[in-house]
Amino acid sequence: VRRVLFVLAAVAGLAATWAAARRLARLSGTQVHRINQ
Amino acid sequence: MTHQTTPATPAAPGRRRRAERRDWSTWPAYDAAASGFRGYWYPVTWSSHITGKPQAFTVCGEKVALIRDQGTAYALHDRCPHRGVPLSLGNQQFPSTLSCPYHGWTYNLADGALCAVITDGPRSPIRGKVSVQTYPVAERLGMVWIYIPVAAEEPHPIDSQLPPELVAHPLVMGGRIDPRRGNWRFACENGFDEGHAKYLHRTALWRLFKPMPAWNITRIVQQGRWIFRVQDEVHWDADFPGVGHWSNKRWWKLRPPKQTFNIGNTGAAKKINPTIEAQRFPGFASLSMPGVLRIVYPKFIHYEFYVPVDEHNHRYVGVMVNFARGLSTARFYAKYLLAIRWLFHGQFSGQDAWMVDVTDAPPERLYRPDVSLTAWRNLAEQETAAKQAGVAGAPAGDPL
Repeated sequence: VRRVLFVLAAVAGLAATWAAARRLARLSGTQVHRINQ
Repeated sequence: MTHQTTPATPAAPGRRRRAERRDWSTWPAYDAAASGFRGYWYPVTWSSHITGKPQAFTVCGEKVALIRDQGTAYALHDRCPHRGVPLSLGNQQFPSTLSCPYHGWTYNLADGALCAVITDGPRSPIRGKVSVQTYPVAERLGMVWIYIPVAAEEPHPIDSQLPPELVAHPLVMGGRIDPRRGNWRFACENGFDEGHAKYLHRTALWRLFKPMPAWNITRIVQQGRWIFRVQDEVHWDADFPGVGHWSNKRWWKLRPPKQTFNIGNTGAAKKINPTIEAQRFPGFASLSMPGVLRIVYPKFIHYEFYVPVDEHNHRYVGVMVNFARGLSTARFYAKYLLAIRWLFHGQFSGQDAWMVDVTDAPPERLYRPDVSLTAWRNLAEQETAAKQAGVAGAPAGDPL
């Protein structure tokens, strides 16, 4: 159970970091795009 | 575009090039282009930022209102002819139109014609007699581009102005649009400036583990609409007589390559992306009108678009491109948003913004590496003259 909780926490942490980075980037005039695909 | 490589054209014969000249009279069209060159497409903002609520922008000194209607972006001159109120302060009262906030003068988005005047009734006699200028709009690379005409000419296809590799290949990109102080020409010259990166950016975190050269021997080569900096010699150390030794090499930095390279500014990598390799760029830094910089690294290409706002301001559009698909796309997103945006398009680029803001020229006294600046100014003169002469190659195609 501890291991599962640890993995879940790690995944949640990564997702939160990713969302925060993307939000911060957007606020500062930054975007990412896929082009021609 | 042809791929014939020629040395950059020197100044036209008969143009006086006295050594002591320190103004820009050698390049009259460039000198006069403080607010930018007309007759080109310019990126304005991210596509997702343009909605049904009009927004105001200034490009080449022109005030423009951008609005999206039924999925299509439109650009109108941001001034109601009635009393000079910005149309960008208005809103949509009818589909496919924009109404001035003051008296409800209502313009067709497609052609700018005054199609109704809300406060003068359905039979208003001024209807159809007034219009506002519209601008061609295109969307590429996730951005909205508008064409600033010289007169009222039809625009050339935007794809003929973009770097060809961005039109033809699948890619993933991260970019930053940033309003900055300083004339667009200073930003453009800074980007292609042979001498600055090695010294100004030596302290950038982006270069923390890679040394920058001390000095280079560089020549300029023209290929189609682009000029390239070609490095013939790269020097990592230098002994200055009577002054001392100078190098950017440090114990914690990677060792510089022994051979001269022309991809990236810190040395070539073992593997080069096949799409990048296939372009056969003669040099890693290249520049084209109306101010598009391309810096080629082994695994990505960095572009800068310098968009003139007015004489004292420009818009910096930095774009990092990776010719990747599939899972590599997610890897690039993470790398861009977590690192590149803050290090390269952040602190590193901020050093450029700092210098562009404080540059004050002419007068100026150029030195040997400034061949990059004079070649760029010559290119601007060359393409402007070709456009004025009605040569088909400008900017749509072949070398000028």
